[in-house]
Amino acid sequence: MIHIVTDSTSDLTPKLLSEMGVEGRVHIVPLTVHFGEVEYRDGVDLGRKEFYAMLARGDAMPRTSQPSPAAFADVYREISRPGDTIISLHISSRLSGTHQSAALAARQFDDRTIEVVDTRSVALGLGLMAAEAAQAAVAGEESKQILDRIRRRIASVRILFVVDTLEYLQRNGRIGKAQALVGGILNVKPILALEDGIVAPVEKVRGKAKAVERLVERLIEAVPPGKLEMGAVMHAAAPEQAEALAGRLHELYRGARFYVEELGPTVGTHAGPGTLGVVAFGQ
Amino acid sequence: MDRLTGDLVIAMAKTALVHLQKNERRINALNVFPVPDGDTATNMILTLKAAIEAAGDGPSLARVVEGMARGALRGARGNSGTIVSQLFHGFHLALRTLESAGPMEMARAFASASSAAYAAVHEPKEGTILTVGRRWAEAAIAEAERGSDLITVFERALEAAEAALEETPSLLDVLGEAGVVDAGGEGLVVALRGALAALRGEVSEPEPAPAYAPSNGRAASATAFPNGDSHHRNAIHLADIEYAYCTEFLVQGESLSVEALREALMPLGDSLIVVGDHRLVKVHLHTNRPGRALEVACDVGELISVNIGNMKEQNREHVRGQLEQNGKTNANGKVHAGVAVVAVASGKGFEELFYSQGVACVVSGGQSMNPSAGELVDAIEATGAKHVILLPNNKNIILTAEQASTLAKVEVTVVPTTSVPQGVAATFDFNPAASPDVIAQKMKRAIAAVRTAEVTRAARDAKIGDVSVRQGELIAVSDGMLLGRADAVEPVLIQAVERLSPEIGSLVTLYYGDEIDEQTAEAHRARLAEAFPGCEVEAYYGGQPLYLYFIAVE
Repeated sequence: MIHIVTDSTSDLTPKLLSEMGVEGRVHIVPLTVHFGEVEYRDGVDLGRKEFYAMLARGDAMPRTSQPSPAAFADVYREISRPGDTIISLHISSRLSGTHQSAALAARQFDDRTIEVVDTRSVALGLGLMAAEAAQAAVAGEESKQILDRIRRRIASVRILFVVDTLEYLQRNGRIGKAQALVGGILNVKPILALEDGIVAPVEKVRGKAKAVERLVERLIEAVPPGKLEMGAVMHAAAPEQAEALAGRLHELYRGARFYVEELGPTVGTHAGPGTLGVVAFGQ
Repeated sequence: MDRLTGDLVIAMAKTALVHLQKNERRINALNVFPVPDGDTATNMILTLKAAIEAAGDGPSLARVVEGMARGALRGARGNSGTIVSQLFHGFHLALRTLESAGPMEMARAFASASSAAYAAVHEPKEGTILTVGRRWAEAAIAEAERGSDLITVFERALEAAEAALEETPSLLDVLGEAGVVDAGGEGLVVALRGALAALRGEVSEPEPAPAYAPSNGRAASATAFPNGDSHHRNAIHLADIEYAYCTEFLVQGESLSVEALREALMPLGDSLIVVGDHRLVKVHLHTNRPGRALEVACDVGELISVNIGNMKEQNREHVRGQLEQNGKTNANGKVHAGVAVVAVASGKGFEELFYSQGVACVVSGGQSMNPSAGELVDAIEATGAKHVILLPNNKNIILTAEQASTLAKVEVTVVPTTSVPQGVAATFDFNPAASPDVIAQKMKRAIAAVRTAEVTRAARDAKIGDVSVRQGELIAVSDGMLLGRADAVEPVLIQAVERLSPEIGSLVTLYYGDEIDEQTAEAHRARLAEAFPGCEVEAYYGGQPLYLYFIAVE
């Protein structure tokens, strides 16, 4: 039997998993969000609503930490039996040590196959890959077929996003090559991409509305209508902007479905409220 | 007095200067819009002064005029000053082989001057200094053909210039509506009256010129012009023209103030340029006391390079050389990796903003302080780049910027920004590694997407179109149009933004001037955000003088 594991940076919700027909088929290992002295397991004892409310109150700035190898080992042990295969899909190793923890945990098992994959992605980029892997497993695909499928996705996924401020990415050391955008006097709404597993600048724009407009143009350049297989819009505490963007993309991509999800606490910690992003899987 | 000599031309130019200085305030006030902007007479005076400084001494007409042309081209400020420099350039072209000139040669020099002035302007407009200059030259040629002497030719030419000036309100609608004659044309006539007095051998003080009343309207009001035209540069007199040492240095420090250095150095000489930021400032000054200037610098920071040249000596060399130096000689010395941007702006906020966007040099200047072509050339060459993009950021500086681009030793592209917010938009996301053409194209696209307006106080009572404006009232203007007026800032801002037709998703940017504090600006920003709910509104400190706000909608 093939089991699919991912981590909470995948931002998968029970609702989305059930829409994709794989409810209960993806096992999610939580990262930890620290607010001052208090620790929360992402998505387990801290939901999106509470998280963004706490962030807005500004009591303390959150930090995050990766799951321990033991946390992965526990899950691997719990969900599988000797002889089974586990495909464990994770956030880019250049953004988090989560993949490393999973890989360390996998080494402890010699009676079952555990494939730990660095997806070089995050949020629904990672989430949709995990959900698709689960769909394939349910449909009876072999583990090699599923892994090939995921590798193709890793090669073709585009993630573009706009942040309200670079402060969050910078504070938490996830700013990557977008460091170059920091330091101007004008308030910049940067368009960023996840490239080779790290944050990279795409373009500097002034004004959120204009930034979202440019993001759409950039997305169409990268994945033209007709070439899109699957997509999602993500946001951090900006549901109306996200719905408007999804509606716009729905039109531009001639009826293609864009799932809309809110970024979970871990990714929200690093991107900051107001972030708006798109994941697109091309052919 | 049958031949025009170098000595005589110098005397004429000096008397013309005195006449212009006597009429400076009055001509400056001949503005179509009652706003502080490029001060026509001040610019002409400074340009003429630069010509006189570079004249050397006679009797050779060719040498004197060559020196004056060179001085004027570099010293040119504002549109009117740049046209004056082109008049001198035209004189030089016509007189360069003559040790002295007779009436016909003088008249041909006038014609050459008029042609040079027309050629410098992209879209020459009638009813301006160009028309006055052309009619002056035509009349001189006609009179010289009759065989008249120098003085008679000059008198007939001046009469034609005066007649042409009186017609300017009927030739140019905006002048007619404002009921004023063209300020540049008026300046030319005043200068010519001075020159004629010297030609006649009258060395006495000029009689105060009458306020010029166009035949169809009221006299241009010379009242209550705000402090825009009374800035420091005006207080220079003929006797002070001679400064021997061109003094340049770099000061390094922790918290240097460009403004404070400028103020401290101002009394020591002229042609002062102070550019830089809080860590590094470049100073250029003509002075007889270079040591004192260096003392001033040592008080605030560390001197890192000093260059003092004796201009009298340089002048002697130059005069021996040839003037055909229209740019484009090899860029010797430092090579800059990419493209550098030089922008004109005034205000500490704008200085910092432009530097934060990667601009190499901000030349102080703007609406009421137009930099000279020479200052722009110095800033361009100080970047050390092989290709410089120059942003004039004001309609009245574009012509000077173009002149500077031909004088500079490196390639210069002028991107004709007409307002400072356009300059900000142009430099946004500036990539110095791209090719100059690509950068210029991108900048032109960026400025086309920005509509701007300025909020200031009316400098005098005026009628703009059908609207009467009272002195002191707040007005918003944009590219020759009145967008709004009121007694309070808020309604003017709202009227202006409304007229700049924002759309859903537009970005409205306020740049507040040195009279507005941060809290007030934030309150105005919030009020605009409320009034235009589909727009994002941002406020930044520009620190510009005289203008409460610059507004950009994009």
